[in-house]
Amino acid sequence: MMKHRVALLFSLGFACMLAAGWVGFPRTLYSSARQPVDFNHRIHKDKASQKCEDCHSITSEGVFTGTPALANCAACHAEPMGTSANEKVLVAAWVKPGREIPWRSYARQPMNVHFSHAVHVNLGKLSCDRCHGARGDSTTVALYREDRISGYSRHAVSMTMTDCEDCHRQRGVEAGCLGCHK
Amino acid sequence: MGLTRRDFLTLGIGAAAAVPLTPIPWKLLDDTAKWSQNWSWIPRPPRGERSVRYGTCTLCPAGCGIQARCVGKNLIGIAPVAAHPVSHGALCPYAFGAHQLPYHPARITQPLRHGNPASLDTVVAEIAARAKAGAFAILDERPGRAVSAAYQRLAAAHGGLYLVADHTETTTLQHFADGSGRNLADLGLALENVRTLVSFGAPVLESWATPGRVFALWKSGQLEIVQVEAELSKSAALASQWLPARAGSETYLASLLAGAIGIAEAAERTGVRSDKLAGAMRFIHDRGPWLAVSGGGFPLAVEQSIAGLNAGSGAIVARAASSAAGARLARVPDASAGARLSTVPDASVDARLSHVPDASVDVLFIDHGLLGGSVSFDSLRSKVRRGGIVVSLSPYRAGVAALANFVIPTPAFAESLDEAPTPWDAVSPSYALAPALLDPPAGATTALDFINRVTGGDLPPEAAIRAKVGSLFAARRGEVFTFADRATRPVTEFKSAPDLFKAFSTGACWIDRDAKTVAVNYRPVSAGPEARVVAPTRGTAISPPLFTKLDQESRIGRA
Repeated sequence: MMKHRVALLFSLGFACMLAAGWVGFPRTLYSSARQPVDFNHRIHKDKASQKCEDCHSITSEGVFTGTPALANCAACHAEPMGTSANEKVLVAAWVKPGREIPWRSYARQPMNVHFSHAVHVNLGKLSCDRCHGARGDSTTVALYREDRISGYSRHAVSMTMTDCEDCHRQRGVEAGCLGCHK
Repeated sequence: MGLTRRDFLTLGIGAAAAVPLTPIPWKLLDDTAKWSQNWSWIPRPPRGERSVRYGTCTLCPAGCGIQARCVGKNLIGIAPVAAHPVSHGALCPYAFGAHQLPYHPARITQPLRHGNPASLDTVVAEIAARAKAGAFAILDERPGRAVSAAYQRLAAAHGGLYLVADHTETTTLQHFADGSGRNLADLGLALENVRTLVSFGAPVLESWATPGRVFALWKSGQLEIVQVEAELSKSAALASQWLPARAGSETYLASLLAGAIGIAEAAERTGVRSDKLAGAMRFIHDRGPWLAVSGGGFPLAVEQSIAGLNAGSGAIVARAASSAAGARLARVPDASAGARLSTVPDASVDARLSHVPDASVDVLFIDHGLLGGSVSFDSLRSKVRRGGIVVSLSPYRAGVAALANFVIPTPAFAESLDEAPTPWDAVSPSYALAPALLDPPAGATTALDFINRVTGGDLPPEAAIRAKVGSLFAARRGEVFTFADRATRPVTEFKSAPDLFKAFSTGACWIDRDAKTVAVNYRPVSAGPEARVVAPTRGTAISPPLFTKLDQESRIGRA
């Protein structure tokens, strides 16, 4: 009886910790926030025939422009082009007042790392979805979840150093420590 | 039945056992590491649009091509330039960390007088009075530049001395120059023609000579290393053969290589096993042509015997002109017509610090270069008269500058237009500019500007450099490799000297691959000071943190 009781309590503690670690801990660790505008990548891709690089471009100097500035959006959406509520919000709240949209970055990397889009896209011929997944086919923007301790997005976990190393190993490309670290 | 303390303990043990199977400890470790990177007092690398600018590393005489990664006006990293004709796409750990140097804690931005801050005007007035009243000398730790030529002219015009120090790296070449009646600046190492490099303590695989050239030959297997050294240095660890001769017994290995003594005697004298010695001798002689170099610091007779091993080998050559019928040695064209002073490293006998009598200088200016200098203070101080002063021109208060009477802050790495003349080991003359990528701090003045101000000279550094580029253009020989597009084109394709200067300023290297080489004869000379003022070429007063990390953690291998 005593043995069963000990096993039961041990198992209960074990199970509770597993549940807390895998379910409770992530919920506590990450704060959630919505993006200012619910952007639909697919509609831009299908209806406007836009490609990733039309908005997320690399300049001739090799500088990646990252998240597009308001001017990119305003070029087409000075006035609503359709009837969607999201577009109305975009035009009314951001384009007309001329306020830059404070997008939250899913891919911001720690301070000691830098990444060159120009090298990977132009020289390495990597497609965007190799690292960013099928974001270009999404119809809504994901909830932004920020790690309360580190301050980085949860989505960046798909771009870990191990991911970089694996890809470099598969392609036989040597970068060394200073290829990525400042 | 209620819960007892034992039950809670069991529950807790069960929970603790599960902790490693959850993400909690691992994620917390990772997160706290990232969190600690963002503490407010930790310097943050700048964020923003990144760009790449090209230049040349001038920390040592190798003059490697660099691409500087910038965010705005800040440097965040240094990378090599692939296919660079001099550095062959390689960089040493110093260069990789060079962008950290301007922020070194020993950096100074105000003149120091006997260790205390002073105004530039006060310092200039005091030093100028002393220089006018007595004998002054300028010690150039980076000879061979257009600025060096300006120093020479300035010293000649005002009755001063222009001096260079002997360096450990060039010890063998210097002895060969002495024994052949040549100028050190005209000699080079024909490493491509030798199969084995016999190093007597020279750090040949630790940023020696032009590192990219040595490493390219070594990695390809074309050049093997035999290291004679008492301690297991990095070069010894990587060498094909390591001969751990007792310190002070190296001369017997030189005698063995020269065939003057047998293996048994050499083994007895050096403490190296005779079978190991026999194997090494077979290795060296079976592979074909070889070159012996010294790491410096041996007695004169030993240095001469090491240099003498290269007599007739064709491994040490003199650069000869490609066009002028061999009458004139191939040097980088210089604006000082007739003077031919600006060569690399110019070490005419009279200009060497070793040859200056002790207590003969009243004011000694030292242009340390970017890493704070390497000549020992005692050897410098001995040249200065009692009551004389040492004026250190350095970005840092370290090394000699920490002991000098006056320290004048100069621009640090990439903060001023600089030059990279022909590396000492090269067989082809070359020249490159290092453009200013950063703004120097207020208070920093270039060494030449300061000495001009003190002595009344009137040639600013940029004018000297432009004149040199102008004469390079006028000579119309050689070719220019531009870093951004990896293209090579002859000098004759440039429209004007300013056009060539512009190419240099955005990352380019001039090289005269057609320059011929001629064999040099060697006869040991008995004259010469026994105790030279020898300084480690890359021995420096300061180093960037990244250098320490890379130097300790690097695992160099033939991948």
